[in-house]
Amino acid sequence: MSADDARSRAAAHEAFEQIALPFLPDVARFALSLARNRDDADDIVQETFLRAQRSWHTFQLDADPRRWLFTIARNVFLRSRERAQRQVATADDTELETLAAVNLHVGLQRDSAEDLLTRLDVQPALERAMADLSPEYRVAVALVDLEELSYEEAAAVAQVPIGTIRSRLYRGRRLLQESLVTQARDAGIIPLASRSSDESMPGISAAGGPARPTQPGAR
Amino acid sequence: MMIAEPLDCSAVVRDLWSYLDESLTPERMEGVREHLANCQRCFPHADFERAFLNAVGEMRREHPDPNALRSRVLAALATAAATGASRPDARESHADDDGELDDSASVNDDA
Repeated sequence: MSADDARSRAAAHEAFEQIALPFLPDVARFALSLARNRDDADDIVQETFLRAQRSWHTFQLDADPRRWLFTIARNVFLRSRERAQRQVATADDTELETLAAVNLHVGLQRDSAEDLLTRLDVQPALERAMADLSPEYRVAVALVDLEELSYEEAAAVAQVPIGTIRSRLYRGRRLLQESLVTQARDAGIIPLASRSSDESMPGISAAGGPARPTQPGAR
Repeated sequence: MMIAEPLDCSAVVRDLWSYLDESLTPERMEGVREHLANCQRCFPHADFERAFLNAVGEMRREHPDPNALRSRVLAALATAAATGASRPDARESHADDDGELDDSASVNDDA
């Protein structure tokens, strides 16, 4: 290795430490959101920075280091999960996800809905629900709801179109809510009974899902 | 000045999460806000979804021991540097299974 090469590498190493390493707490927080246990999260963080260091020459100095590191962390996380288990929502069902979530709320008596978030020990319940989410949904929820990235920023990190991140986010949220309801029912906090159909929201079926158009183009 | 048509309940609940994420157009945001202020059926749903999203946001937590983690990462980086594993030409062996380099971080391209 020539002296020039050594100087160049030392300068790159210094720049990496100055620009990328300050975001270690951010990456650690994101990794905790994804992995849900500290050991796995720490592994993700370490692997993220190793990969980032290897790829440092591809980083453009005017880019957002946090977003760049989140993308790598997301890739490391997904790599650690079975690809076959990924469930990927399509990009055009976001309204149905929102409707399904509201319908779930309609299905609860008003008092039960309040109980869901007050009487249920909601944080541990959410942690369990989050751990059960498919990796891509977990990434979307972690980026938008925990890291407070915009849809556009989250889509860039996840390297998918904005419609896809929105769809995954909404599906993830709905699955979290369904899990909360299941856990609350299991704990006897809310009753099994649901509202009658005449109390459903317009456009929402009472049977547990959003009302789907009966004819093509009816939506 | 154009006056937007009032939204019905169905349209509002479809837009509820987008509204709470403030990702609708300003006109649509205003339409949903106005509807929620006047609709006793929709307001509880919005209230519930807002509380739910707040609870989800509270899952955000900092690493309990960032200094230990930083030491661990720095040690790993130093080891990688010493063994040459951090050299740019070493990254070819870390290509994704589908051939995509996962570290390429395309966010650079559209930042």
